[in-house]
Amino acid sequence: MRSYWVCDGEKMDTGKRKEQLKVMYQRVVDPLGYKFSPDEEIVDFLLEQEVQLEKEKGNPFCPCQGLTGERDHDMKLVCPCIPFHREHYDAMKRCWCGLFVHKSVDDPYELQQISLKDLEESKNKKKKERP
Amino acid sequence: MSSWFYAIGENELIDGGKMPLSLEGNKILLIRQEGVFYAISNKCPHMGCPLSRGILDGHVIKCPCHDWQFDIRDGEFLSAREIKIPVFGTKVSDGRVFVKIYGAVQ
Repeated sequence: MRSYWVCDGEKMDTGKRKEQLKVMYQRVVDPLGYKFSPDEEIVDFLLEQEVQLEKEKGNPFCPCQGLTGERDHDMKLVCPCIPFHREHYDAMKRCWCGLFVHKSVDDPYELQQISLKDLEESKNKKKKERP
Repeated sequence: MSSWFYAIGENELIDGGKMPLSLEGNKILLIRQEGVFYAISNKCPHMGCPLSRGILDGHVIKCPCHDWQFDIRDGEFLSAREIKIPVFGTKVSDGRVFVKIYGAVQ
């Protein structure tokens, strides 16, 4: 499969590719109620990591999650991976790596990562507490 | 404003087949499934990959790049209904398939 960050046979530089990813991601996350983190430094850093991953592995995977080599699993970690982890990310008001946050969030540092295990336990606890 | 544009002859596409077309500057994927013609944008909304290279399974097409799946009837992304690919109207008249393009005047 042709690499989609090759333009006219020439490899794009990292800065250009970061900008291109930003435009594509914006279109996807906006209807889902998310935006880029207001922390521009972390956005730039994470996009840089994604471009490196794309160079190495062919896809801009989430830089903060482990790949298994199984396509079904790994394709759900191509950025933006929000559609495949919606309940989890909505509970945190951010995606796992923090590249995206809910539109309502002004300060991304008020948010915490919650492991999926903790989220499930909290849900089960709430269920049991209901009369 | 919209207009119908001739796409292909009815017999040029077998059932279960798909054909990329360019109509009035729109990259369209024409699909024939269970005797019905469907026309959708040929660009995945994720990263713009051509859906014509994807796999069609019933009324679902899977993008070849990252496996995003869309319903060809309404364009909905199966993992998040808020995301849709543009869907165009189709009609068959006298053995000819037409696609309705919005914003185009014939």
